[in-house]
Amino acid sequence: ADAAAERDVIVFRSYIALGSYQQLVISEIDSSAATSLQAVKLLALYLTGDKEGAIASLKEWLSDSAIGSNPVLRLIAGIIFMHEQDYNEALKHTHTGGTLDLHALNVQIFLKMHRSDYADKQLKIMQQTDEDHTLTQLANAWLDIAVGGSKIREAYLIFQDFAEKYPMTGMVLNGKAVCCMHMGSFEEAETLLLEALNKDAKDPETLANLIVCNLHLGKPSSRYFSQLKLSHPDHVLVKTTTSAEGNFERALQAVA
Amino acid sequence: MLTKFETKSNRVKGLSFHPRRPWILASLHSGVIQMWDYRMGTLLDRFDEHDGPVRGVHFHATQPLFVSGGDDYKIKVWNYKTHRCLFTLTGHLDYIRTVQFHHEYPWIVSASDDQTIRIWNWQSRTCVAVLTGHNHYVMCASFHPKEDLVVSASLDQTVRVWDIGALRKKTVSPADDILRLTQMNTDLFGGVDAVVKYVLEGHDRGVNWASFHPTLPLIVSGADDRQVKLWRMNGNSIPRLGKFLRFFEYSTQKEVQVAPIRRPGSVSLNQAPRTLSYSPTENAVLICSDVDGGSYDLYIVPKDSAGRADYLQEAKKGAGGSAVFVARNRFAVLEKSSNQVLVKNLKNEIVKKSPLPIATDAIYYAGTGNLLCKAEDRVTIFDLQQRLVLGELQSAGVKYVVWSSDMEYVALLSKHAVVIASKKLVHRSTLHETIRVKSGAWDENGVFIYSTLNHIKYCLPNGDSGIIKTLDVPVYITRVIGNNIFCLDRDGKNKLITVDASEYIFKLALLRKRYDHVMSMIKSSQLCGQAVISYLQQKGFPEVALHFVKDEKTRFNLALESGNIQIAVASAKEIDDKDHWYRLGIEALRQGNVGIVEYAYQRTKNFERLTFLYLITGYMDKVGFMCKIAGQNNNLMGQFHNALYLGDARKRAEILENAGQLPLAYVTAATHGLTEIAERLAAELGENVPSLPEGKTRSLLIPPAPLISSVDWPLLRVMRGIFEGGLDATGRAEVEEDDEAAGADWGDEDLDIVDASDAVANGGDGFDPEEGEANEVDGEEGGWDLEDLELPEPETPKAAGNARSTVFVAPTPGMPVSQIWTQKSSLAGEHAAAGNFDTAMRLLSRQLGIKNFAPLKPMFLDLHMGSHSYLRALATAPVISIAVEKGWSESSSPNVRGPPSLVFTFSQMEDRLKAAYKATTEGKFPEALRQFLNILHTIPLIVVDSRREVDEVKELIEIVREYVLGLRMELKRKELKDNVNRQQELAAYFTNCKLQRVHMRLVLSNAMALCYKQKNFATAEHFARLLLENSPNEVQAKKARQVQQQCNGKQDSHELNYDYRNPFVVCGSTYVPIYRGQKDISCPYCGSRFVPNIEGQLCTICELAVVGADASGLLCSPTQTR
Repeated sequence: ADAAAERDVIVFRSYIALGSYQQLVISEIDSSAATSLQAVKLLALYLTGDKEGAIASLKEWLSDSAIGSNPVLRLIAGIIFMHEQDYNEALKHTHTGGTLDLHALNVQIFLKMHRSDYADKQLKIMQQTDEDHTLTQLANAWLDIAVGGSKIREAYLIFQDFAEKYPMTGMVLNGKAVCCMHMGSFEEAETLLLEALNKDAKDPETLANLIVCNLHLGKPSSRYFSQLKLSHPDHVLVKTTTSAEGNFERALQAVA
Repeated sequence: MLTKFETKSNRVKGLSFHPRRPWILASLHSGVIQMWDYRMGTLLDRFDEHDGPVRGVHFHATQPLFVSGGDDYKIKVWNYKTHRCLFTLTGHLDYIRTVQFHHEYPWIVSASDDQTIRIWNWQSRTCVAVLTGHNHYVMCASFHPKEDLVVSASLDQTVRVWDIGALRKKTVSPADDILRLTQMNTDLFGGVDAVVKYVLEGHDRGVNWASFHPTLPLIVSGADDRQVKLWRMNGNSIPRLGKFLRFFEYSTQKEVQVAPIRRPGSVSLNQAPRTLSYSPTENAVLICSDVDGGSYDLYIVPKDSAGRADYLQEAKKGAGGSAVFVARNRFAVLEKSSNQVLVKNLKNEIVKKSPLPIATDAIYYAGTGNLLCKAEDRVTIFDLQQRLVLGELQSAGVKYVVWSSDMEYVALLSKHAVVIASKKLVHRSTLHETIRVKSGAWDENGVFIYSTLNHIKYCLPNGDSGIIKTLDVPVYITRVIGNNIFCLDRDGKNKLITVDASEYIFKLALLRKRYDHVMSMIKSSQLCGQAVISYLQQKGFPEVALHFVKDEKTRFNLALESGNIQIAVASAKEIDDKDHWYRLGIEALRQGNVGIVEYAYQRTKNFERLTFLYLITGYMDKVGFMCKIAGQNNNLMGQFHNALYLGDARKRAEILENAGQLPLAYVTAATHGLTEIAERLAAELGENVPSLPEGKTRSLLIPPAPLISSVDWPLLRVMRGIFEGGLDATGRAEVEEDDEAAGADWGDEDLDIVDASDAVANGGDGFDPEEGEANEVDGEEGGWDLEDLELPEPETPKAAGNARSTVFVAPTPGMPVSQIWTQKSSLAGEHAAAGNFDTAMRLLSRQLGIKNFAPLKPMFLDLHMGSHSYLRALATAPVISIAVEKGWSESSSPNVRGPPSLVFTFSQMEDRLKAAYKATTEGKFPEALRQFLNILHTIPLIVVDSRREVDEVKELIEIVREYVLGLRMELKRKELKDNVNRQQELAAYFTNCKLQRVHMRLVLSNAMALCYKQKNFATAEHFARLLLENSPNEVQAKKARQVQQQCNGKQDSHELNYDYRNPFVVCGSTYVPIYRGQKDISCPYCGSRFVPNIEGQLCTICELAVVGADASGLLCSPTQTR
């Protein structure tokens, strides 16, 4: 039964990752489902836009000592508060870890906080648990990319391993491409990203990285930018660029 | 036995033949050495000086000497001519077992129970080497007949091979005497001049004798374990593993010796490395050997040390049956005792343990994270991550595993078989060899190339195999690239064998139905042999084979086999014999091609068959015709038959009558109511009229009409592949047309057949929904599980508060990399990249006096946009943005932040400059101006690495500025319609800009023409002169000279504000010359000059800075501030 529940959590999380919130997740999980599935449903609700409602329920459940320590619930809490950029709140629920997912999320939160030292500690825990686990490898690659330098090559090799072992996915291609960009090989990055674009022409990271890559190659990138703006108006790149325009105007005022 | 020798009492302990004479020495247990003539059977001499048994004796090859060694620890050298012992060598501390002269050097080798072997110089009469290492009696020792080797056998169960090369070098060198001085040392510390080369372990009891093969690198040994063993001296079981680890680059065919392989203590043949596994990304090598019951050495070769054998890293060792890389930085070690694998990292630390699904003898690589486990009778592929068996295959005694480069196929080599399987170990084919399979490799096309003891062979994916090349000596294939087979020979040397791959490539193309390749290979063909044809025939490609063959009989056979009746007809015509027509007829009949059947029967004059054919196909008129022919040929029987077929009773009666069978004719006529004939015949017969049967009803025998008449039966279309199209076109067009016609007639029928099969397919589909339902039922069961799970949860006892939230204090966020950038830097571009636009603007304002930032906006935004890459971590969690830093190298330290990698680089500017030049040359001035301005607007944000580049940037600003000024004036000039003087002035000022020569010439031509037209001859001449100085092309030069001639000495007719004798700069705003000595003011950024009253205005050239503003100067490199 545990395995089945775990499986369902993963399945529903996958649906969410694929962007199918309403039909496949929200309407499928009813109020009688297990806590972990309810938590997943919360994430779906949050991502469809019901942020206040989701956060309110989340806080309520987290304070319920009966279910507050459910690892999936805590994971979802971490993800939601991360979206809220409230890293303290996120860590409050995730820092104790317990599952590889939680530790991987911690790695990510610490990277967001620019605390790779803490991220490294989380990774060490993951490595002790299962060094060869996909999630451990991935988290290792994230950290490697974040700390940069010679580690970028290692991250690249981790993604390369994935590429050899599993079918090429957009994530692996993007991972490799990011490594390439950080190693200064923008041409290779472009090739990889175009391959990723072939697989999914709307993948936000592919588009964002293509924009960055093309900028560095001195190639026009506006096509990808409009595509990204259209399909993912909330993407970091779109947001920072929009706010950068405002910044520019403000800076003009300030300097004048 | 030829001769029996009587020796009085004693056992013979040693014997030696004389090299040339029929003499033999026998050394006896009594201490006596006898010399016999074995032809005469007489004792020639006896030498009795040893005290106790003499075990070793040996004649010298050339001199009248022999040597003996006895249990008195003494070695004696004798001259048999003088019957004297010349001298005695002492030194051994126990019985001497054997003695032997060297064939060339003045050496004697002796083996003794004192566990040593000694080499003596009998000229200097000293011991020159003591070979220590055996730890029991040494039973024999002998020199190699050619090489500097000694082999010895000992009761310690080993055979040792010693290298005495160093000793020989010493002996050859004149410093011979030193030997004597060092003798003491040698005695004490063991010979340094002789080192053990191999220790051959394998006998289970003491070894009594060992000897070199006189010519081959073999050693034979005999021992108390009742075994005689033959040892190969140069060959380790895998020859590539010599003493050194070497890298061989296939592309360049260069070999680099990387590191010597450390051998444990003494080197033993059977302990030589057995397998090797390499991780290219980490440059790490695993070498497994049988040392200590199975162990491995892990070498990590420094990447840049190729060719530097001096830098050696100590190998990391471990015990284990076999070790193999399973991922870039993970290797698996087999622990046989517990039947599990240990996954280790490159530090040789255990990362994971996993039990194996089958009792495994050895493990092999099987793709990242997977292992191929070999048991006695089968192999499995095991996923180490999921601990799942991915595939299993029964295959006994697998020795080597070779994966195709795409990891889709694997070849399992055992002693006498090659098994090809898919990556999930689904069996594809098995090849059995009668001799040993040695090695193999996959080529790029998925053909497995392997070597046996004496052949190189191929194996196609369908299991077809064949010989590529016959070998004199075995080779070990390491890689196949195109026609090139890389391999190692027995000595571990890399070799390249080039083979003709066309045969197997051709077969492969056939197999893969790549008929275009087949076609092109046939057309350019070199491979048209009988073997290929029979292969094609066997493999069901007679229609392909057909196109190779010239011999008509073979063609005919192939055509019949492939059902290509048209070609068969053509061949039959050529051959034109009965048998072939007959066979053609059978085939055509089988196919139902009536026309050809008829033709074939006609050709063979097989009238009976022909008639019957006409009958069954309903050609009744032709049957009638045949009837006539039969009549003409006096073939009564045939004629009668035909008449029967025709149902022509009258004819039958007539035939019978003509044949003289009157009664039969009468009966026929009477029966069928042909009364007049019957009466006529009755009259003729008279009283012999036969009586007709009573009470029978009569009927006319008429064969039933055929259902389908006069045409061929439905024909299946003959497969017309690319071959018909391609090859028939080259000369068999006529046949082709026939075929087409036949096909066309029957097109409809063909369709019907297809429909029928469709229907069957649909029927099959009908079953699917049920399967689907079954699945759904399963799904529901899964659903129930969930509800079970839910029940206990509400009953969970309440935990005491949520401790987490209160105790935990999150760390303070660190500093974003972009912030680090701005802290370190006073470069505007880096601040812009970090998104700190205000500080970037302040920097630009301070450094370059820039006040107008509007043109910089896109650059700012691009810099910022390109400053981070985006990494999706957990799928639903927010994406991580990562600062893109500059100057990465393999050795950059992690956590040390570099400056941002800016989207604008100096090299891009150079490219843009070229583009702008091009636009200028093409006369696209507005476009060119836009491009130059773009460069000028980007430069303030550029960052370069060196001071030299800073100077280049400054130079670039100057170049671009000049063009911007010039182009602006040129555009202005074009706006002016009427003011010709001003036009000339602007054209003249343009020539004052610093331009590329190609542009300068154009500008000068322009100004020259303009002035000449306006009769400003002196100025025009000046431009003409300048033009000629600027290496013009012919047209330009010609024009310039003409202008010079025309203008020679003439005056200007208008006065221009242009005094070329007086150096000047042009005001970037008013476009007037500012002559030397006049006051001017400049742009702090682009350096354009202006007349003083422009001060405080925006520079009209760069459009960015304020003219005359205070500025500290361009800062575009961190090197400037250091």
